[in-house]
Amino acid sequence: MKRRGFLQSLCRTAGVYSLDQLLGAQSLPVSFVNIAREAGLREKTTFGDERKNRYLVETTGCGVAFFDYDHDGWLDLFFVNGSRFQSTFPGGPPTNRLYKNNRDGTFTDVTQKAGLVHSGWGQGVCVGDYDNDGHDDLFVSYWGENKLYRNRGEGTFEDVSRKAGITTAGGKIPRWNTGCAFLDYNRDGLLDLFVANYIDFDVKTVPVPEGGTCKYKGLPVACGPPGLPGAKNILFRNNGDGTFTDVSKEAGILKTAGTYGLGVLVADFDNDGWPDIYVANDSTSSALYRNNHDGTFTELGIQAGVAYSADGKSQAGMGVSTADFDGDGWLDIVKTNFAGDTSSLYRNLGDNLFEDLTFQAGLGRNTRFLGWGAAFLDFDNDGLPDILLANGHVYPEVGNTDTEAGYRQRKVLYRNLGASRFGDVSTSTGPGILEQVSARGLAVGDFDNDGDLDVVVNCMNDVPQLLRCDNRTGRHWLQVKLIGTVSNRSAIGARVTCIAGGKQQMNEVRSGGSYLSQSDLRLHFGLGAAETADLVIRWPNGNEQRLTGLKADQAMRVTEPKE
Amino acid sequence: MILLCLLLLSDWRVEVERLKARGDATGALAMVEQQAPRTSTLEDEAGFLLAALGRRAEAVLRFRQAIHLLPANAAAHYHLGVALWLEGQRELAAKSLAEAVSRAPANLEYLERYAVAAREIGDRAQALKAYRRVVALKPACLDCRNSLSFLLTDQGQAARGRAEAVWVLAKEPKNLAALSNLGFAYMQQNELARAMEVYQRALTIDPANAVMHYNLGLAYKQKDDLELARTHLAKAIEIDPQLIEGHYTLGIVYWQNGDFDAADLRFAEAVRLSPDYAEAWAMYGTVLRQKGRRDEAKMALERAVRLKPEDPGPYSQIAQLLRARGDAAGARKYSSEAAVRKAAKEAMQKEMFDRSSAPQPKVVR
Repeated sequence: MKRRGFLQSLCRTAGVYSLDQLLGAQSLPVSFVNIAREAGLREKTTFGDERKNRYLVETTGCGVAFFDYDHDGWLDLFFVNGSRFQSTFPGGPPTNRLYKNNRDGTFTDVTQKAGLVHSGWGQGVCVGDYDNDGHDDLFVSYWGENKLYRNRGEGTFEDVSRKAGITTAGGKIPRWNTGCAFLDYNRDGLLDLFVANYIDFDVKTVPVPEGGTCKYKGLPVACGPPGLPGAKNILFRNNGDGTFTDVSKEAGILKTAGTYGLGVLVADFDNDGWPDIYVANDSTSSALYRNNHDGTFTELGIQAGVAYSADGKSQAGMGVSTADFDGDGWLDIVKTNFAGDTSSLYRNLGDNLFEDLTFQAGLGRNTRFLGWGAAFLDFDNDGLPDILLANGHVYPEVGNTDTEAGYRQRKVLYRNLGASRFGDVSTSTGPGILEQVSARGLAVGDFDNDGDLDVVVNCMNDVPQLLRCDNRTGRHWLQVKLIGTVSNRSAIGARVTCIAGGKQQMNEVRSGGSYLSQSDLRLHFGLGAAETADLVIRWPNGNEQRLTGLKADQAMRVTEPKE
Repeated sequence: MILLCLLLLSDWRVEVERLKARGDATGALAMVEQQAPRTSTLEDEAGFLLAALGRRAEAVLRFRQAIHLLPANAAAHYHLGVALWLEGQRELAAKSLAEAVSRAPANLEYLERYAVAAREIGDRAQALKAYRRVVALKPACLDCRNSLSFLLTDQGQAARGRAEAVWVLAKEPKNLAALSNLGFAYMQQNELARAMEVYQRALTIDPANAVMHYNLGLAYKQKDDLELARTHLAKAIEIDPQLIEGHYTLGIVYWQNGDFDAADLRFAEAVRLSPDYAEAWAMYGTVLRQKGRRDEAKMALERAVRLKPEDPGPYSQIAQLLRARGDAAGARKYSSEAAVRKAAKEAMQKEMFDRSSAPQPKVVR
């Protein structure tokens, strides 16, 4: 092409695409490939009717966990499963599933052996060593009775739900528990438990689509949540003897009106060393519970600017994730929302104040997707947290209409371009991102220990997706597994600052998050070209530890000093 | 036949008709006023002539008198409806026209006028009923079918609305109103690609049609193709700078793209053209706030609050502004106002389960 012609074409292009789009669309040597079938993940999740749903409870789907249940240094997988109304299940009712990582890219279903066979309307999953015995335990929330599984440490789990006192039975109707997270809210070294609740849902009285009042774009659909009573979230305090006490009232959690709580995110948003709680609420303002350091919380979502959209409107929050995406030392938030809306990106300005940066950052261009799972992840190891969103419509009835992206939708991957800008790289990062499913829970972890972050997705009435990240950037990384001694053994709430190549990144060990899911408890830092890194660890009890000159490209374990 | 009619008419009537035919409304009115006893027909005729003379207020009184004397006088109800319509009393006019239609159900003129009135005042359910009857009585009327098509789609019967549009297009393939309705029906049926195809077809017929550019821009926006949305919306307001929704929607597209300066200009223009446009004020305030022009943002948001106090969005934004300014008490006040409005809105939603709120295309008439 002649120079003039080239310049003309460039000018034309510049008129059509923004700079961010051009930068974001540069071919990346990173590809996500779905290897679920090859990996042996072939069991479908069952969740409501596949074509038409009568009740909202059939639509919300469930979560997934990446966690190392056998402590062999390889991430295993736990899939929550749901149920279906008026179904006989000839092959037996659907059950949650635990898959052991065979360390060769495949997994083996060990659900039965592990003692985790259980059926019901499963919702969320979170992991934490609540009894500090060195083995990560498993909590599964239900529309119905929650389950707490104590990890015995020899490959099996014990159902301690009743003994621990975390069941929510006893009311007139089953509670609809959703997102969950272990956290040490009172910093006593014991992991407590927060469980979001969605709707006080009575299948006998809830309106049904046949009534004609519940419509989405003219289609009769399952009713709610608008019009149905919001439910109250729960905080369980760990008593240290294997039992929990519901302290929702004294902790101030019940001061908030009943909301439609889904995704739960625990992080120290105000940098005071105490864990705060953010809850993505559906169809209403989202909530931020600030930890008051005295066993209570104050809800300040609206004041903090994380309750609504940029124009002050309620959104249908689903999944949540956090990272310090702009490297300013404050944890920011990304939240998925309903179709016809954008996802939300809130930049933390400090002093419990956030700024909605969705549009400035480049996340305003996608409105056709209905988001669920959300994760900040540095997929290209450049040291900047990127954003991955899992999507799928609520209503199977929308089918393949093209006003929105249909019931089955692809994922959206935003690459962090620096300077608080993101570029949509979904179409240039491999077939795994583009494959259309009705996704719900999403978790992130390096299941093959090759130094890049992989993704697992729980899908509605479908087999899961295991998106292996094939990263050919040659960039360096560091993975950190923290083990608490004075603090809780899972080190949940510990904050790690990683300094490498003149850049500083920060993240915290976190239970729960995304959409009703659990990502790897190990922290992953992309180091770019840096071959060494320094770490500053702030343990949950406030003690600080410094490690310097750490070699890149290793998965390291750090145990909390006892003094 | 004419002779027979004349014979049946009394002398004064013949004279009145003669004067009217000559355009002498004053003379005709004088003749009518002389007649006694005063009947409903006489009062109606007087009202008619007063209206013709531009004395509408007096005309209204006479039509009312005619109705008082004979409530079944359909013509008087009809004339009263037309006079009130011309006086700008649209709701009352529609009521009178509805009365006329109920008294003379087969009168096509009454029915058509009522259908238009019902549609214009936003009583689309009644307008739909009326247009159904109009089309039954006058099946070849393409304009009537276009109106019916729009109303059917608007009332959730997009398949039928589409069928009516297709019928018109079979008779008149370049009928822009029918193309507009067909596009609207496709949009309602979630068939975005087909809607876009129809709007593009319309633009090949009339490339300078602002509404079609607007609709196409809206469709591209819904498809998240913001570049093409911007192109067509910009074209729409270039052709018709008075197209308020064009400015507003283009502002939203710029806003989505993070181009707050361009968005600011569009919202400013939307509120200049339509000072009572609450949503545009709210967005104007939003973008000004995001640009850091806090005082102006606050003023715009306060205007939005005044215009649409039930919308919680502007309150929470004002609260944010006040908090950023260090006015904690003011922020709390507006936050709680936002919470109150939000609760009220949610209480309303208890009866309204519809989660969709996409903007509607405009229709060519």
